Amino acid sequence: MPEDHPHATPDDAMPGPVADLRRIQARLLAGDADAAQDLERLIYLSNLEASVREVQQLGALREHRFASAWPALGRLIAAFRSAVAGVAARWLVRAVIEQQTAFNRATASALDEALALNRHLLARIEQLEQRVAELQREQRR
Amino acid sequence: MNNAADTQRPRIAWWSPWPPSYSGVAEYSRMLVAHLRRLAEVRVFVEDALAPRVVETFPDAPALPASAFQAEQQRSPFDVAVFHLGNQAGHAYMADALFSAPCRRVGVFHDGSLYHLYEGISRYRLIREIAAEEGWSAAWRAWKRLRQPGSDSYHHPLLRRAAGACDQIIVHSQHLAGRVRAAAPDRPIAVLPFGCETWLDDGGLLQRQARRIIGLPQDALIFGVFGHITAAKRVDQVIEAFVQADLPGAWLYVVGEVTGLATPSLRRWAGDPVLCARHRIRFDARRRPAYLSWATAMHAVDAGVSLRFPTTGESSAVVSELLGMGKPCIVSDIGALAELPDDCTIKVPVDDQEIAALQAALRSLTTQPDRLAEMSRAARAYAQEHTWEAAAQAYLQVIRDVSPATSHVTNTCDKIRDN
Repeated sequence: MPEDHPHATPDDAMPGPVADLRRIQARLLAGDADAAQDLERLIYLSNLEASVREVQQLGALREHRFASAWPALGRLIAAFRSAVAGVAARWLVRAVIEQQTAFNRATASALDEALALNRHLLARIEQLEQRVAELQREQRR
Repeated sequence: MNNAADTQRPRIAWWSPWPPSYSGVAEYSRMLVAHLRRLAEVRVFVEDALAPRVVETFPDAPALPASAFQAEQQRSPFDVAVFHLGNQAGHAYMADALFSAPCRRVGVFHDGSLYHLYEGISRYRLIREIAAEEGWSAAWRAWKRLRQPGSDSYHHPLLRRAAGACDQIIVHSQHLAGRVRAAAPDRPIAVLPFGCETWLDDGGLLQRQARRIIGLPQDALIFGVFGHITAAKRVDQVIEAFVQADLPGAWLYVVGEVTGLATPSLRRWAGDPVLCARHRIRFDARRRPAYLSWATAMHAVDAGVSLRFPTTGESSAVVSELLGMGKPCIVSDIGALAELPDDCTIKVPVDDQEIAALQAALRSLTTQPDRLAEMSRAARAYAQEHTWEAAAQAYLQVIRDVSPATSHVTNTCDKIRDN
């Protein structure tokens, strides 16, 4: 049996996603038929946003920094490894890193655009749904 | 430093992982700051590289890069710096500030080991810390074990120096208070329980929608396991007990990334959807889902399973969230989890009776709907007594007591301490 909750945190005190989910729950309780669809939309959109953030976060490659856990000689060993890598592979690796980073940035940018387009389309769909509901109400009168 | 006129609103430097960092401490901090910012002036300090990508922050409690701390301190000195210390590399950026911040320092110990925090700085720093706390022979043995699989954090808690740098320590359980006290007996320790977000009892409306979206059966009784999957979470044992119990109408839903620290047998389960489907088990191993998906998945289940062994004494953010949703939990009878009330959790031992006890717990919740409903009510009651608002008030009291500008007002630390 549904019951009210005297200690629930007010919406304006809560971080966005918790407040969003709580609003959906309130709409479900109020019998709003669109609330379920809106929950699905919110989930897809927030997952896409999280994925885009992750791509942006991981996109910029960095050269490996050599380290050693040897207590006393660690820094010397790391410097030696770094010097060997500098002679043998650094220029090749840097070129590959630059190419891959450029590709990753372009991919992240494309995903960002796709996210913006999704937000725009979802807002437009919401407007159109409201308009359809208004027209249906007018027709019934 | 704030003067006595500002005693009601201390200025706090809040060092903590923050979303999109994917950790229980990041979510904990976000929920706590959501309430604390109304009572204090809060500045959140995050790792420099993450600062530009921080999301879902509050305009009056901005997230700043760690490197901005000194400038911010000079602009307007902090009363207190609060450091959220955990056994993960994501906390590494705050280690140096913990030892050098020119204001009162409060250390919140979320784990009973800081091994991976120091390892997150460098292996050299880790070995140096082990040498400083346990001697060079221990450091030598630890260095030899570094190349072996698994975590050595249970053998090297590394709490003494970090605890010694704090003017006040906060933990979430008596168990962890005991561990920290053993490392730094002269430091004051306050035990402040975890906060819970409380949700309306909607009669299963949100649960039904969550199941529809995820594709879980509407008529099943679903047990949920949530979080990064490692060997210490004992998901192997949960699966073994669930399969052996053979409970028609019950499902096991495992949500979280299967990490490199998971056992090979668990990785086999996660990679075999046909075998899983045969036993009514579902893995949802998407990496870093948005919080909304995460919370929706939690709403979809009827009860949670959150086991630990070995443990460093950590509390479980997942259990707190589930209890707030009215979902009773099956937990290990060890460490901080053992301190949860018996009316909303079922505790299983971590000895050779574990599988049998797990089976009995799963069976009783599946076959006794009245008991499940009763435990659900008890879980909501527990959450109402441990709200985020109450947790923020308790933090504020501890912070006021430790702050030099405000400590003359009251000193309630002794009252809170060891409650």
